[in-house]
Amino acid sequence: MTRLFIILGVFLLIGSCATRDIPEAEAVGEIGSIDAYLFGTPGKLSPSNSGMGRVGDHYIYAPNIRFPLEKAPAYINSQVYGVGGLHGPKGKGQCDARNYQYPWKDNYCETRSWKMPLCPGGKGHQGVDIRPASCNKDQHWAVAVEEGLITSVGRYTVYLRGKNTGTTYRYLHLNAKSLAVRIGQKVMRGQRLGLVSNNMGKAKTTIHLHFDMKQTLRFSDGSSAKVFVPPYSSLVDAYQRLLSGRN
Amino acid sequence: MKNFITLVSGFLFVISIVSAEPKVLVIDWPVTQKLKSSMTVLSARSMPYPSGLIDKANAVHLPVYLPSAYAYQETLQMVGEGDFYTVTVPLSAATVFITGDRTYQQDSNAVTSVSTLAKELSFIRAEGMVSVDFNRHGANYTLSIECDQPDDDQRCTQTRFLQQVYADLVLIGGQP
Ligand SMILES: [Zn+2]
Repeated sequence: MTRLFIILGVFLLIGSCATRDIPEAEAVGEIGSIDAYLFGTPGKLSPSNSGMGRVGDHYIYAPNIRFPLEKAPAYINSQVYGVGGLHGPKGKGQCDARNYQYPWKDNYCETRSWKMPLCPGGKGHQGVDIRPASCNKDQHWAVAVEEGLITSVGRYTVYLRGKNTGTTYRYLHLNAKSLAVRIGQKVMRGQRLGLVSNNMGKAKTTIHLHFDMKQTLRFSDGSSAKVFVPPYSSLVDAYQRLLSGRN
Repeated sequence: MKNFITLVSGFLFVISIVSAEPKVLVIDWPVTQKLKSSMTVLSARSMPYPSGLIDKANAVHLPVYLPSAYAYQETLQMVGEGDFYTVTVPLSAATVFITGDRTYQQDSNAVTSVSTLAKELSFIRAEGMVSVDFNRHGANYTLSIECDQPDDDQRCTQTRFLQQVYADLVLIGGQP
């Protein structure tokens, strides 16, 4: 009996050591109740003809990340179905005030032609599109969501691999001349990467940050696959902390 | 007593959920080693690899694949250590990347409704880039290309170019 207690005691000691580095406020699991003035529901795409999201999935795939734009406000909504978008109302174009308003609208899994294993139809948008505070390019900084390594820089994409999680984060459409990082550079959480712009090489896009997160899923048979996971709930969580100064 | 044990095991369970360290996949090294020796013979050329590349590759604990056509290009950049690597190859008006990683972030039971598409090999064109995700020897890799002219450059408007690069990947290193 005494021996059993000693064994259990050792287990508890090991357990408490294992948790020592975890910040207290770390979000684990699903996003809790959210302010409906600020945020649309995760997985609920808008307008309704823009596709089918992961309704009911409120899981925070990247707990405790920093919001990828340095400053609030920022607006998550559709670049394609929003005002001035290819399938949206014409309005005053991409700078229409309606694009710079809350509530956020999830656009992960928005209709696209390419394969997406986590989208209900097997196809869709790989990440979310975020508009910075104003419709001005090259003014608003994108920052590292996690401490990590800049693994690659492409023609209009910056790749960050999170040191603590192994998640790969992609930042698209930053102004290439504004980049404050290079391949192989270690960055701190919140460190400036580049200015949000409309860079897609010689192709056209709107002023926004496309942000996505790739993670590896391990299946019960031991096999695994790398997929783009839903960023929206993680971003709501991060934005709430940004607004309340708990970065 | 039974209740106490239940309580303790519950506590341990919670701890295991809370710890957020990246978890590591098992690599099938014997198969990899065999492949490596056969592929090294196949890829034997008179040119040396860029300086330091093999040392960097051997500091990585998963099989390191490179596009054979560019493996000798001095301008390629490799970063990585331990459980991952990325190689960036600048081409004229385009960039090719390959990244390998042996960590995993989610057990699929935490993520409901994942399509079996996740395990199918397919070349996709998304955000103006062509890419393919694949699994070899237990590790996961992504090969992709990004172009200056995503709407006009055939390397980014069609999958044929990347399919060719994929078919000619060569194993250059990696150690258990
Ligand atoms: Zn996007």
